Amino acid sequence: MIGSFAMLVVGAAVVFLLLHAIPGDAAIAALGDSASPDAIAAFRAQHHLNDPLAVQFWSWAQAALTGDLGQSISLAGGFSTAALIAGSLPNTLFVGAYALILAIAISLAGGSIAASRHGRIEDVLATSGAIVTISLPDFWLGYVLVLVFSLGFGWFPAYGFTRPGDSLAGAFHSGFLPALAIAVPMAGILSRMLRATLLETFRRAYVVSAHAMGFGRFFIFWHYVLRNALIPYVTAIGLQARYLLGGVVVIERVFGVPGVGSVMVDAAFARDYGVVQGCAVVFLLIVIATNLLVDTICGLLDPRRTA
Amino acid sequence: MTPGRATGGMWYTFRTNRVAQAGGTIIVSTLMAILLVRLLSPYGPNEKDYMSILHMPSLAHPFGTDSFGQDVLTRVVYGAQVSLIISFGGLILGGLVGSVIGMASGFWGGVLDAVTMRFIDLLYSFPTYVLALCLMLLLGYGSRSVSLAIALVYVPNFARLARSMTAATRAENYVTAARLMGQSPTRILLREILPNIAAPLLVQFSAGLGFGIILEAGLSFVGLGVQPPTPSLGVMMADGKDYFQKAPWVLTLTGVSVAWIILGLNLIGDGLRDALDPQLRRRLS
Amino acid sequence: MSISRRHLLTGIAGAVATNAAPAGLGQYAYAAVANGQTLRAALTGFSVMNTLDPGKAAVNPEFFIIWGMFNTLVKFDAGMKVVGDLAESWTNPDPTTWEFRLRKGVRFHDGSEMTADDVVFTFERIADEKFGSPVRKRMATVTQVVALDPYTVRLKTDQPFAPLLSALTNTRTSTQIVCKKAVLAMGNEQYGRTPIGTGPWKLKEWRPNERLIFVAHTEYFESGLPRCGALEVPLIKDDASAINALAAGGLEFVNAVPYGESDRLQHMQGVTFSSVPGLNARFMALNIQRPPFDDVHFRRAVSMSINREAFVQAAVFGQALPSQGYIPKAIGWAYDDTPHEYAQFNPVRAKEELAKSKYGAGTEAVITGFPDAWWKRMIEVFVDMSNNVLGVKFRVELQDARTAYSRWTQNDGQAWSMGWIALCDPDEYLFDCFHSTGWRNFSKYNNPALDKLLEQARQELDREAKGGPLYKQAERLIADDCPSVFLMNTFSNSAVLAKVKGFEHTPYDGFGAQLAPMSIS
Repeated sequence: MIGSFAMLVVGAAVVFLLLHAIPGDAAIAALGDSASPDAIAAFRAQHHLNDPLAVQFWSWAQAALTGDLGQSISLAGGFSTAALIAGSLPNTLFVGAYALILAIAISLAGGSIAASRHGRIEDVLATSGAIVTISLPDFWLGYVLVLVFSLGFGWFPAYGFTRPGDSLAGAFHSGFLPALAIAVPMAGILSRMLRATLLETFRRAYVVSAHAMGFGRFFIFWHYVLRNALIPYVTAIGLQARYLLGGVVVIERVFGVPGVGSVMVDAAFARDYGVVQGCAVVFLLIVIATNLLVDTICGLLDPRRTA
Repeated sequence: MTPGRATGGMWYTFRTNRVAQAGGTIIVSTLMAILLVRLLSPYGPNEKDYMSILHMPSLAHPFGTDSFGQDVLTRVVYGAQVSLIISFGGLILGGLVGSVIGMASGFWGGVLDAVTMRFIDLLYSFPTYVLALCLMLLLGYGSRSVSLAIALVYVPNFARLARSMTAATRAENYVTAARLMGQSPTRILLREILPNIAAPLLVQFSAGLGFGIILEAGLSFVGLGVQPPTPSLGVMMADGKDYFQKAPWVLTLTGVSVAWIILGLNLIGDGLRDALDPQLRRRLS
Repeated sequence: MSISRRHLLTGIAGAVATNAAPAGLGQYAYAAVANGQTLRAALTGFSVMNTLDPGKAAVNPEFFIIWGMFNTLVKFDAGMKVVGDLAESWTNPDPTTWEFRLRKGVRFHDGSEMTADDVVFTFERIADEKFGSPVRKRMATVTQVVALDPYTVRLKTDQPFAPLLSALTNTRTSTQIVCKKAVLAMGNEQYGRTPIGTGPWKLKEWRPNERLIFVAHTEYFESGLPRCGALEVPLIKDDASAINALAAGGLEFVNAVPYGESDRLQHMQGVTFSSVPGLNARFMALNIQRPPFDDVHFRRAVSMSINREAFVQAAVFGQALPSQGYIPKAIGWAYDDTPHEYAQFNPVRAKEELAKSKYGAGTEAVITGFPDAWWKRMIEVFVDMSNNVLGVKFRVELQDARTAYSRWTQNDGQAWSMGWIALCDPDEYLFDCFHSTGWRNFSKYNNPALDKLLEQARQELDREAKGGPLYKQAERLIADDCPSVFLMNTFSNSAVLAKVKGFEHTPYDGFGAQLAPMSIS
């Protein structure tokens, strides 16, 4: 617990220093090209941008500890950072979860088939398909999907995302192409991982003896093989979490999903440090939570496993 | 099990593995194209021809032309060189730094290990793209900054892998023997441990090369990467996306080229992993 | 325009519900709107939007929205002539006094009436140092604003100031009239997030980084407007995505079509494409204090090495007018179209000037630009052309827009690929940029003869007849020195779906101001 908390603080401090090392500041971003010298000076004074770095960080940290992540000053002035994050995080989580479900579905099917038909044509097809999909840049895939399924067949909107809060059906509809673009390379990675661990588990002593003892094939697969193979599989899924949070920014841009990664990137361009730090802290919290979740699931899958 | 024999057997397995052969063919053909493009292509990579912008693929321009009239195929080959160098450089740097950190951490353990891995975890938890972006803003755009960003992103991967492998290997008999004999830690790390953990690190390296190219492409895609007029695969995809509906071949063909190269790298990585498999399992179980 | 029975009934119901003022005040039939249509108009290429308070707004996207929510005393028509907006008429009793007669019965979004008090409050607020408006210095020439009666306002300036009317238009001038009662009631901070104006669109919801949602202001003073009942403005970062959305029918209007897509959109079914020469100037800003651009012969050489017609074709696919000065053609009365020697493509003369300069072929310089869209093309083509003609070795350096801009303001660099948009007055183009005290004169260009001309033009209230020639002369003076390499004046391109009627394209990209007359059939 203390370790995680210390990580958060250090993480925030590192982000803070990194941002302040970048040339340019929030004043120019907010005031644009009507930024006369005294307008800039007034802006800096108003937002305490001239205070020593330690002082600025300390006042941010103090507020953050009480849950007040401050306000945006040069991206969406006046809106609280919490509001910006709260407005965008659900979108990222929705599309991320959507992509994950698609990837899990595809990879469970593909990986299991490839492993159980090891060496035969289904295996070769599935494995080659997986390798090719891993090699595709996901934003490129996004554009191709738009070209074919949106502008071509017209089944999905080419741009724009309906929030789940506004319309769940709309969210599923407009979120399909971005989720698919993210899911396809991920499914490739996961299905290869699953295939490899399944193959390995097949050869384990307890599985061979279960066969010898005459248990049903499906029973063996479900109780002995899958539960053990899933542990590294679930761990691999957990590792995708950090990618789903911030790595899908380009996809978010292509499809217009107003996600938290875009907020962070735009805030970085606008030198809105408070927003970037707030987002960074939220990211870290989510990653920590995901790691806990993954560990719990793995523990459930295999009662013999210790931390 | 002496260290020397492990590598001998592994190389043979790798060499004859069909997957690795396929990957090797792809990469070797790419490298040949890169070496020979200067001789074979009638176009320079930056030769602008404002009269022939966005022409469809033809005999004169097998991949068509881009929005400045530059030959896309020539630029893809030069761009592949640039992207590979950037990715390679970044991975080597990240790999070296990460491996050193991981090996030290795994070998000595204790407080050093705990604190270092916390920092590594922190770095690892940070969203890749945003980390790279902030670094680009800090260092300025350009190939060198992209390499550094890739290096930074990969340090945690190598550190974690090196650490867990070093910690496992440390318990082996021959390492204990070397320590008892009074060999200096550095010698032990270099002579006993490193050769045995090198293989998984290599697998990580080959996988990372592909991702490094994608990261470079992603950064150049939003304009933060390589400076014009230097071509890179990412720069070309960015240009292609701006004119995607008028001239879909630029983005499509460049994307296919990127996938081709990464496919080759992944196949080699797979071959490596397959070759390692017997050794890996024995070491880790 | 025929009004259906349903519209009429809804309109009457609306008027009865919202009209609390006694009969006789309204000269306008309150708009019988509420036709249930939602207009989806996308703003592209931006992501920063900090405030919708006209007194504080500073960047383009903020103004684009403000133009739909507020009005000013006067506005430009499509021909860039000043006509009345909230003011019916105005007079100059003497060169430093301006009197405006306001329209009666104009309602704010909260139903209260706009009077001279609001106008006075607006200007006092801008002049207030503590408020910190970006245009305070610019409006400092206004020394006094007084309400003579509820519908008459008098402004006094310290000297005759001809550009005053431009500064009072509904462009990027921050002089949009705010609602005094609302500002005092909710405070400046809140007003920037939930503003109350007189414009045709009333803000319903602002989702930062995503979209803004408006409803029609049923009591808008121009009867019959807005024609649609609601407006949605998605903020789309990527230009190409916006075009995709338009083509798929997900949007009705895109304000900025990427230049590469123009020909495709012109021929696209179901889409109407519109292109007018815009109000902007694109140029290479030069640091005249540092080598190599400190030498006037070198600057002239570079300027003459660019074939501007070819440049326009290559950089923006022909969607611009080659230019030799700052003032765009849209401001016809001040635009100088006599050819300037140093702005014409002439490789022979260019090499002669190069020979006269301190620096020869092989001179290196770094040109800074930003990587967004066609800015990148502009800088790449420029470097390619000048390198090829002169044999110099210019290099491109891309930085993100804010860093590049802030370096320019500090004169930290050698040259920048830059532009000004939506400056609407020749005084802004020339005085701000080239007068020795001009605040956009980052490179400290100093030409006393020019200073005198510009000061004179500023005070010349008979602008078209007497001011115009002064500005033209000023342009020619500047052209001799080449403190910038003037390149082009890009078109403003917009696209609407064919089923949308009523779109009138203004040269200053007046996004929010163009939306009210639009309807979907």
